[in-house]
Amino acid sequence: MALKKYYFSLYEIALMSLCAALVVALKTIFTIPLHMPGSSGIFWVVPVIIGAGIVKKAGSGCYIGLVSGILASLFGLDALHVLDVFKFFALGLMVDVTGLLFFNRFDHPVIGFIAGAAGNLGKMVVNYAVQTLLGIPATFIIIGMGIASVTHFIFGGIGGIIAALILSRLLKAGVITPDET
Amino acid sequence: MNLRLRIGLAFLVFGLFIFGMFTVEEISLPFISEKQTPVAGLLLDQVFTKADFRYGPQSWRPYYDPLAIDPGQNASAGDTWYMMYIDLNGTPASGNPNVRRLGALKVSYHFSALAGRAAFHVYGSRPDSSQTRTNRQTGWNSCGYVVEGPDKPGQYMPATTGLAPSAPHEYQVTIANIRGEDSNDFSAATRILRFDRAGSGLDGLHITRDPAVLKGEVTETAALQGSFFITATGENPNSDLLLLVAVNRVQPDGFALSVRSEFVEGP
Repeated sequence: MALKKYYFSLYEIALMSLCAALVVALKTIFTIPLHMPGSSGIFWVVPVIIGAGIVKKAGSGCYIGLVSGILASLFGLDALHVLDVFKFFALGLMVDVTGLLFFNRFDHPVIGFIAGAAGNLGKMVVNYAVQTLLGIPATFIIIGMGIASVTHFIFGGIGGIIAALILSRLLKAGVITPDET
Repeated sequence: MNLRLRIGLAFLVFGLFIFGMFTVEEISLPFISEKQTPVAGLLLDQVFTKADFRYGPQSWRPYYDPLAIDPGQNASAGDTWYMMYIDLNGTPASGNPNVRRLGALKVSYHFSALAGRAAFHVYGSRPDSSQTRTNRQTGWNSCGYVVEGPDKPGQYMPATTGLAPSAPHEYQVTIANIRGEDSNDFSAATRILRFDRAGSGLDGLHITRDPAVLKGEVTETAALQGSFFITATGENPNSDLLLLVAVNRVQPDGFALSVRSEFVEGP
């Protein structure tokens, strides 16, 4: 009897779930005292890009984003609670889109930068959308939107470069292989 | 399409996106109501009496794990305090690039017939959730304001009761600004102070003598009349800002506290 073949293997699911847990763990452990919007993107895009970079399948970013969003909601890490799922999912979705456009070359620092910046900006847009739906005064959302998008771009990009450097190091050291899964 | 071209296009899209965000901001600004932005001016001018001390006597103030009340070096162990909560009708907007109109809340006080010590602390709720922030009174970046009064204690404090959690790590407090029909009816206005986890929200608000020193300091003074500033760091301004006034003695009948709050732009 032929075994049913699933899109993600058990190994991939385990790896992506660990990356999702790492997003939540990093967010709990690290506090960046810069008080600038999007500054946390410098570390929380890293596991998403590394996970997507190892699995190299469309939907891996979404999976990591979704699981980390559910975990973050359960632990109440952010202000929007259950609505945080959308924020984390948007991050994963943007990493997936970048992977499709750039052939999953997440070990390349420039592509890592693009993936991280896109993910962090996607998170910001969803954050604003959710806040608008919740009725937060427009002042708090619109004022500074330009600056916030620049800081999200920069911090997400730096996080993406870090992820790309880690991935390329892991590949060079032979810890993972280009056809790992 | 080769990789370099794709990378170039990606950065072009990023540039257009960021330009679009600045454009949306610039176009929208004229349509934002002035009422939604902190405006300089008087927000509260009210006199409180000892009947407004609704809570106590107790030795702690609300936080995830209760905090001691006296931030000063001369704190005496075992002191119990009577507390009142005052809505300052405004919020500081400091240290956040999301908010252009930066400013602090200036609080002016004037005690009449103060017995013992009066400690000021501040609580604020984030607008996107009911999580509460407060000032850190011990350790790194501690701040607070204590006034030492010369009068002798009075005989009794009316309408005081111990503050108890309304849910785990959550407190429902009645503000002193609005009174009911008689002096015992405080049901008119309540606020929720909710703390999600230890360490969260502590050090988000500060009490300082100089708004340029955002994180403030612990001040002990015998001046019965004076002023200090409330500043905030990080994230958005608060939807609500409460001033906690705590005294460690039963106050004489002549006790009065005049409080004025105003938004001042800067530093």
